[in-house]
Amino acid sequence: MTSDANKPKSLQELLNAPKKQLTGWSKDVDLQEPEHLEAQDRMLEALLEATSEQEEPSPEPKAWWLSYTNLFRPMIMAFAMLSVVIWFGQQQDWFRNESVPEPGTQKPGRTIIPSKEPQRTPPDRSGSMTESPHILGYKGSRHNTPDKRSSRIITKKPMVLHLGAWKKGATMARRLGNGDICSSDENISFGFTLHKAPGYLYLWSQDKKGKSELLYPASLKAAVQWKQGFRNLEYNQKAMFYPLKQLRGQLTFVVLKSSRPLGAVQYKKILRAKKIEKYIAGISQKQQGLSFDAVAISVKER
Amino acid sequence: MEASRALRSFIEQMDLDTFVEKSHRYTKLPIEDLKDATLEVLASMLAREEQFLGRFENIHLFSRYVRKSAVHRIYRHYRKESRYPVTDVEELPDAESTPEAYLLSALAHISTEQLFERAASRVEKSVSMRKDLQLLFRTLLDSPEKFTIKRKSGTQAGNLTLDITRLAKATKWNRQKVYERLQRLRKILLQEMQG
Repeated sequence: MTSDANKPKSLQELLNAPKKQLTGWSKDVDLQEPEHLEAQDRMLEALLEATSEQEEPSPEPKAWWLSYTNLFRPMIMAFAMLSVVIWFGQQQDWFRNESVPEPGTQKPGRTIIPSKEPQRTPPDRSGSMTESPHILGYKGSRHNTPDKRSSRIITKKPMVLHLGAWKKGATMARRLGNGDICSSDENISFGFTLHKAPGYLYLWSQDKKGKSELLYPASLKAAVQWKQGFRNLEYNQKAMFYPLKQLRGQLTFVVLKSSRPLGAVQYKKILRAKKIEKYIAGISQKQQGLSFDAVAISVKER
Repeated sequence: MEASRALRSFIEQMDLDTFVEKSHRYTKLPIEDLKDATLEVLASMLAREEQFLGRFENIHLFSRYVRKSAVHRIYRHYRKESRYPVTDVEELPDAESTPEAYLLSALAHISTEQLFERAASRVEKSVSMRKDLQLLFRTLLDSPEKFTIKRKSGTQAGNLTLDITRLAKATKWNRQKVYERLQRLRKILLQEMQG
């Protein structure tokens, strides 16, 4: 407080004092805004009344439960982390279980040749049965790449079709993108990535004249659900190949993913379509749970 | 100018001795200090009359403001001199039966800072907890309007409550910690008032 000599003595003295003297008396007085003090009161009122009635963010556990929670916390954390790793691994296909995938155990379509399975080879397209040397990566498809050569663009389509071309005796398969050229002595392998949800897959091939063929599954009744993630088309753990031996010109592969198995009527309509790809594009816009991808290649004589 | 006259008329209506006596009864601070501080606060208000244009609806709000400001000034002065008075708040004549009402009634007359300082130093023994409570209380006092909200719905719609999420952001604590510290703060304030 100010010194005795320089301080007001009474209210009357204050009221009669000139402004200069008032300023001198109050030079180190720090006054808060009246509204601020009012707000402080309201805050204290809220503190006293509200905190007792506010919902606690999370209920405090009982003492015994707390001790058990602490005891098992590392185990719970480890379990949670393991679950995350497994889930991520499944997404990345780390733990590919060769015996498990139902799609791979399915009997293939008539014209797809499983390796080391000559009895299933159609008479007109035999002689190119070899195990797949590797898992195919993504290259590009008709609907994912605006430019057929810019095949590195990865888009999150609900599903993606991967094609690989493999020559007998070669150690590596060649990835195929939309518009790529293959020779008639190559064989095509297939892979699928289901990005968003599992579903039933159907794979067709169609030549320039419009002749269509269901490559997978072998029949409508054999359709099985594919899990989310990447997987090659296999049969008994062996990759399936589609020989191009007797084919020439443009060939389009169309894969359809459906959340439910296709009905016979719908299947027939697709098979009869002049342009399968266009037809499927149309129905997938109208019907929920359908997504598709297509890759067109050109086959030339060796 | 009317508001300015209102301020002067409020001062004219005041009985300084009674006012200081009442303040002393509530705060137990020395009468001389209270009188000096009250006059200095009034001098400061008169020196800045235009700033207090229409700020007080009635003489009760005016008196309350002057008393709180005077006590606040005394505490600041004591803090500068590192002198902390041991004060007791005697039972208020108009105190309600519940501790909360009692405290709110007392708050109309004493500084919130004074109350907290006393409560924290006497009731709270843990140093770290005292630091936490100090930080929380300072945060609340610095911008009380920011953290006080009215419930918009529910059975207690219209009641004042504290915005825990904002407090958590301001203090950089999690909501659970804020909630627990608020409970503790409330407890020590009530404990202090109950003696």
